[in-house]
Amino acid sequence: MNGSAPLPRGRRPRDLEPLFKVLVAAAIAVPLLVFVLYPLVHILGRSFQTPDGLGLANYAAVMGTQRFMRLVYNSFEVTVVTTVITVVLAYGFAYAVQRTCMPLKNLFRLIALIPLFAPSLVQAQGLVLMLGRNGLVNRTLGTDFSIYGYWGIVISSVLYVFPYAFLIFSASLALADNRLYESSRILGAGPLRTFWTVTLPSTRFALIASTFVVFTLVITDFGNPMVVGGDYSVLATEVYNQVIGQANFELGTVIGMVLLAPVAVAVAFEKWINRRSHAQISEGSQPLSVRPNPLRDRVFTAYSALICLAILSVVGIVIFASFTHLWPYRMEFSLRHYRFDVQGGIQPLWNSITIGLMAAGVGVVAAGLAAYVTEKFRTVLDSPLYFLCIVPAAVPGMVLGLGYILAFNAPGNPIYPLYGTLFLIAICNVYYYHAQGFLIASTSMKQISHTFDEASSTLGATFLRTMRKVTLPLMWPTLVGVAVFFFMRSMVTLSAVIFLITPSTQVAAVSVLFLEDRGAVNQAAAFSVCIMAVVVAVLIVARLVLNFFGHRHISLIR
Amino acid sequence: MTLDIQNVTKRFGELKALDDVSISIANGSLVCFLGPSGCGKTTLLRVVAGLELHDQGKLVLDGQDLSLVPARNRNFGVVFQSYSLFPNMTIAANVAYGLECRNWPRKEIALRVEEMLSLVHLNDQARKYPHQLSGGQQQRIALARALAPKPAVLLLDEPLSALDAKVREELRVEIRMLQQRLGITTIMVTHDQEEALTMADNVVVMRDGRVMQSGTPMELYRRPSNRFVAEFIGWMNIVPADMGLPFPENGRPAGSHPLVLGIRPEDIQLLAEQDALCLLQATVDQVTRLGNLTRVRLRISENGASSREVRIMAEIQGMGEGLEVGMNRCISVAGESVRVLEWR
Repeated sequence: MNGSAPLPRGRRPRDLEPLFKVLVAAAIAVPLLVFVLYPLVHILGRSFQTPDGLGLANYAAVMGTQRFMRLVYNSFEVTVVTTVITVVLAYGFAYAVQRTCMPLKNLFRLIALIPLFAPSLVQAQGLVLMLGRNGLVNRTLGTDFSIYGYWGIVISSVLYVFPYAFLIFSASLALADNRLYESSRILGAGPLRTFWTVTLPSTRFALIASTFVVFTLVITDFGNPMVVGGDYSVLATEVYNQVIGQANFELGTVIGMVLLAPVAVAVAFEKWINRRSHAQISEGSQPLSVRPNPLRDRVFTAYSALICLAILSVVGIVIFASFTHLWPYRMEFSLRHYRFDVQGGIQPLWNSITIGLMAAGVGVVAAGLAAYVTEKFRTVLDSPLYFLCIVPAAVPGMVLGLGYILAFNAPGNPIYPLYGTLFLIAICNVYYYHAQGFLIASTSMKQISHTFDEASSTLGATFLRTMRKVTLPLMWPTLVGVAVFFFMRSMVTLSAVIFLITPSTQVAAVSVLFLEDRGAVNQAAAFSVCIMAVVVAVLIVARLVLNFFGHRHISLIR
Repeated sequence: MTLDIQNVTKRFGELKALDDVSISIANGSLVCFLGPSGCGKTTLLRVVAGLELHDQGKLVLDGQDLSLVPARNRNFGVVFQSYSLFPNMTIAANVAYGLECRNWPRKEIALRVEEMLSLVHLNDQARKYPHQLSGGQQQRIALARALAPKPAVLLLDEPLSALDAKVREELRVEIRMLQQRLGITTIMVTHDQEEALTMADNVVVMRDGRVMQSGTPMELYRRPSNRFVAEFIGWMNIVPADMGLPFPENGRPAGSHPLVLGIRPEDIQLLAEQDALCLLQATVDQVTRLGNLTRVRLRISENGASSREVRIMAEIQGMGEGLEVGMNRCISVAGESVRVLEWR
């Protein structure tokens, strides 16, 4: 018999593992289809629904108006200006942290990350307390100055997205090949020339990535424009006004789709660029040694101190205001706002914590399993599954939330029993932040060598045993990080949950918005402080646990 | 256990990583797959291990076709270049892993782990974690882990490449002794010809997914059947056949002429200019004295019909007294030590 006959195709799956793997991969895809793609398809369909059947009438009604052009212009104006300012400021700050001998680096770094622990509209809140009509400045100086409007949005947005850009630049600037810098110096290049020819080009991918990340965050943010925007409306606030204010879902969906387009383009471009970026650090690379330079170090210290001062003062004033009797009229110390004698009381905070815990649990399983399957299984479903996993990055939170109402608030829908529960809000948060959680998990999984799996299977282990005995024990610190990530984002997010809350499922971040809207700035501040306190407490506990088990290198703040 | 690799072919897209490879591995022998990187040797090992699925051909172990058996059921022990000890387990737990997978009773596992660790002289390290051991120790543990479940065949994927020279030398001897003591059929992949020649019973030289030649180390050295093997194993002078050097007639295909000859440096004799045995006149270009032997590079000034310049390396015993650059010397070689590498 000729031994080179092809293996009979039909007989291959004598081993059932490959079949099982494909089934698991398919099972993982189901919730993504239900909780990401289905609402999106629904919202898209709804945007074409008119009283006279399917058509473009909604789009025509929205886009034809002067007001819509204004909104688009406003959104882009705010977003582009904020992006430019943030990228420049954050680059400088990250440079100070990574490439100078500035003192107190860790403190500066920590302060820069504070906005991540706070509800996303805390900057606007602080700005109003400080520079609003009844703000500290107007009261003390007797001026009549107003921060509401364009500049209010830009300033609060810059503070809001600063840590995201800083983290990207910081990671990029931390990697450097000392040999390049030595060559540059030996060839006679001054520090400025070295910066232009070596430093800047080596961080170009971070520049592009952070530009798009910042752009996406700002154009989809609606907490800050709601609070400090005044008459200056943007697309995100308009979606909210149309849906909540006027119950006009069709127009809301149309504007949502309009918002989706630039975000999808930005995210797609960022992923594409990311794929083209290759490792700049080869095996022979030497870590950069930064040498002291008194002038440079002093300039950057002053610069960083200024930035930190801005971040601290905005957050600090919120904390301060929460402890005053009645800002800004009676400034004496008072704890009365922590009695939460507002409608619903303290319940929204408990709701937020419950949602955060559920999102952490569901998120770890969903993102962790998806990462495991796409990294290790090597089935035909790998790339479609990967795509599904990162699609949420391109969906504005408001659009996803709106999609949830439209898709699941229908008595016939199998998900309907979940509607109006904290659990559905948690699920919404999980899938809104799915892409980031998934990428954290899969990056760490990539670092676990494939040969562990191979060694395990040649020793006779099924993949289930490999997962239980090898992969999970190696992965758990990262999974703790993923859980903390989902918890943290669930506590502070506004945009995805704003459409899903009911009086009984009110969350703390939304309470801040509503109270702020009503002018109850002190109670709003107290809620913000509670949110920050919970997030910081969880971060500290997680850090201590990881450090106890010797995993200091796992970063929790993303 | 006799392992037969029959007509195995493996493609990665357009690339043929293995092209109709057939190798027979005798029970208890150590076979080396040797070749430059990208020659398919590691792919072949992975196919044998069950980590890659081949497209065509058969893997037969003692008469049973293994082609469809997944890696975890093949009962082959594999040692990887990167050690791949599980970092979250102690040394003892690593060695016990394969036994737990086979549901051995707890007591027997403990005994076997003890036995395996003493086999590699690392009993005292049982409670440590892999990162606390040196590279050489880790690789010995990896060997113990692979051998613990009494595998049918032992597969070693460049097991020594990540180690420094001295440890490599030690482990070479240790692996070989262990393999012979246990009498386990073993395949080792390497790109290091010295490793292959010193350890293996049989060497399979591969290139571009094909077997170039297989045989005992000395067969490959003395009788390379083509230019690639001649140059890959040791050093061989490759010269045109029309310079007037003798060659053996055996194995000559009917009606053909030799095209390329190969001569080992140690088979070349350097004689005084007027010697009666003189075959070719040459000029000394370079003399490198290594103490016990001397390497002489020569340029052949008079090369028969062709006018190409040919250089030859000769190795002579001793210090090569009296040899100087620029001298004329006479080259002689015995016909039976010349290999014809290409016929026309």
